[in-house]
Amino acid sequence: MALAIFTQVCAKNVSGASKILISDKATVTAVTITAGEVSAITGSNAFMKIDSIQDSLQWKQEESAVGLYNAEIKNTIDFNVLPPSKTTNVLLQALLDGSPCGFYAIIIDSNGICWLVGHNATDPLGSRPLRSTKISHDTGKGLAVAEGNQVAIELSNDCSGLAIPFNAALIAAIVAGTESTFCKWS
Amino acid sequence: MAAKLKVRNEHLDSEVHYAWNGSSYKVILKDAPQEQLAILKELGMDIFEKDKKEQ
Repeated sequence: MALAIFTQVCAKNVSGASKILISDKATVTAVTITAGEVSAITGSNAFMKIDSIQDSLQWKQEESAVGLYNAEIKNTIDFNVLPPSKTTNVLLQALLDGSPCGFYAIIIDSNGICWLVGHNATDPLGSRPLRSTKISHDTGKGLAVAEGNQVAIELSNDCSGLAIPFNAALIAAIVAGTESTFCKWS
Repeated sequence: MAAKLKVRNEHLDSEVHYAWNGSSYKVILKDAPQEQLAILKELGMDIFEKDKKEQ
């Protein structure tokens, strides 16, 4: 892709991410990309809403040069959940069990844009999905530890392409938080 | 003989990434052969013109 003029849009910008939905890789059977945006996801009840603690969700996409000619893009998603309990263990066990096959995630950033993370336009579908790379439960010492007794979860991958935003129609469907063919909210 | 699958105009420039029989494929819809379109239909993709019977 050749370099072109980039014009900054004069608009409010908000830091952070507000919601994450996670799908087992196998439940997404097709992704349609139109003009650089995800325009359809094929998969029944693929993405599950995961409630995270406010302001604990963070998605990082970092590109690194490899040698002179290669590039690597690393996605890291961190979020915390609570409380440590048998119900939380069900989520953690599902992440442990699903990690060998991998996951895709939808991240809703604080600008209201939804991103498909774990798939990109370069790699074949499912070839470099997210995996559970860290789960950490720390009680903390005493009452003064804000993150005590939270479970920190990290999903990450290395891949060849940038994460893709959803188009306006799908963003509207996702942020509405209502049931859709590919998102499960309740 | 099965009816020929026709992709709706708004999807012709789209690229579909899909998994089938354990392998991954990419196809630009305007270039997709009927065999691939049949697979996409089987996957449940809503991209096709409806034939007269379905309407």
